[in-house]
Amino acid sequence: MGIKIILMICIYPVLFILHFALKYQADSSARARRIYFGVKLTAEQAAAPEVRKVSGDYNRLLGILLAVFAVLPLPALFIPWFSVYFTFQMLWMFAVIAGYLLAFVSANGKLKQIKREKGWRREEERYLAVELKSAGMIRKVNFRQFALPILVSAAAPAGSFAGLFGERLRDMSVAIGSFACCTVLFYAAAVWLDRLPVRVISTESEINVNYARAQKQLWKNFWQRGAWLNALYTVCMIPAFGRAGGLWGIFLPASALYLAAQLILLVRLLKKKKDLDVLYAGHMDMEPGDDDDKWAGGMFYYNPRDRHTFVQSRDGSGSTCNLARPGGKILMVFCGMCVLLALFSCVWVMLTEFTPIRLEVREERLIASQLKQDYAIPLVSVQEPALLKELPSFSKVSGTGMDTLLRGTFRVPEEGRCQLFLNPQNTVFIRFEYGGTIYYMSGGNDEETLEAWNALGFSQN
Amino acid sequence: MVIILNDDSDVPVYLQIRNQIVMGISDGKLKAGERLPTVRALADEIGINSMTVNKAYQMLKQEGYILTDTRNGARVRESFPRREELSSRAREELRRIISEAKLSGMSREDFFRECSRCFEGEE
Repeated sequence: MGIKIILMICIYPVLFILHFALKYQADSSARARRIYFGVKLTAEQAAAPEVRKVSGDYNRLLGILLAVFAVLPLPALFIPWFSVYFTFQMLWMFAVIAGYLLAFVSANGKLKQIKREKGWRREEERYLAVELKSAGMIRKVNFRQFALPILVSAAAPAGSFAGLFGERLRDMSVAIGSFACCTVLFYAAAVWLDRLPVRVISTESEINVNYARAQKQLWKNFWQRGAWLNALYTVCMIPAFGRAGGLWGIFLPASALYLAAQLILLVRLLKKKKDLDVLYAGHMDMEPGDDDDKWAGGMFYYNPRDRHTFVQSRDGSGSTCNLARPGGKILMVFCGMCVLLALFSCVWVMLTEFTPIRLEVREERLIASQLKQDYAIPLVSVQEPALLKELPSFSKVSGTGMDTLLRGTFRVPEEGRCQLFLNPQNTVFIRFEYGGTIYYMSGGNDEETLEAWNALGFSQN
Repeated sequence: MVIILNDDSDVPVYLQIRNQIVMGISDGKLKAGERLPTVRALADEIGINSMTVNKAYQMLKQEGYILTDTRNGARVRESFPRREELSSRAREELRRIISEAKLSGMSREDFFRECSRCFEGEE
């Protein structure tokens, strides 16, 4: 159940992030920026009954999607097979993304059609406004602001790798290091967003410069606080991974708190950006250029003439990539491959869970296999074999840990690193040494284990 | 100062940049001695090749509107060469505008009134 809850904690927020981001895009952001579902409209055009109907239908659909998708994963927690649960979670996540994107793209299509039919589009509005006084001159992010959280983050895996926190933590230094890398990613994201052009809102340069400064300050604060949160979370992993059974004690509450805090930061950022737009609403005398045709579905930017690989997203709440640039294409292929990999992993996890493990003695070797041959150990090299009725406590270093399969490298107290290949549901297990490594093995069931044990014992005699 | 660029326009982008900077100086939106963004910064902001911005800056420099040096980047000049006549390119442009005005049926008086309004900086 623990791993299922962790998986749910990681995936469940996708629904709320998407819901609020897309609701924000269609609501306050639209009013301030004159971009409605990725379509540029004037305030008068936006007040037309046809447009309001599209908006109303969209909000209703979003409410239904939220209600349906929020409930679905809860009963799924009781699915007894991990692989089925994992597949369900993956499919649920893709369904959430597809559902919300389709709702938005559909609203975008309807508005584009209304705009076309009403003749609201004017060719002279297809322009790009650039503020000469802020071009390349406003930078809020520098490395010093992020150096301390990066150092704190790096200290955790470095200390673990050096063995300062014990042998158990040394095994986990790569995992802790991956959390630490996220702090560097926060810094990279801050630098990247700091360099993006900010929309020109006024014919007055001073207003544009102040607005750009305020926008970049908000983003800098968001990433800096996120980096600190990530650094603290990385440090928390030391006691979380350091204690046997510490998964429930520290890891889960720390992860839940971390995700909640990051979500709060995101919501605060959106709120502050909205407040900023409201504050400057009276000064926004510069309509954005009409570049609807460069935004497929209102959210995917494709403009071969623009050399930017990353641009501000249509609603101004973040950034997106230009799919016409090589970088954008590579990123799209990467995203596609991630989706395929996620689907492939579902098949792989199912095969792993539902294919029984096999343990047999064949041609004077102890063969352990599942899907492929995992171990082939010459019987003459097997030392100190023992038949166990109970498994010792252990923690996973690397490999597979399922209710019906433990396979890979595990750490057993007082014995150190061991190789496990067994079904923990069984009641008998074989322990032996080979080449200086301790092995714990079993067959798919107790009969198979005893059969292998008898063959092994016969050979030993 | 805000510059407006239209990549569907027949006027090349470098000329659009040049024209708008000249208009900005003339209208007083860009003051004498004011710093302009570097070639790279402006190219990054617009999302175009640096060569395009460089071409516009070189043109402005040749025409005596801006000064460029490697340490301070580009600045609007304190004083401009007083030729007291239009350049040959501007005269050519004016001829084209007059032709369009004539063909559209505009009278000489209306045309001069329009020119006067533009000269005084009225919208």
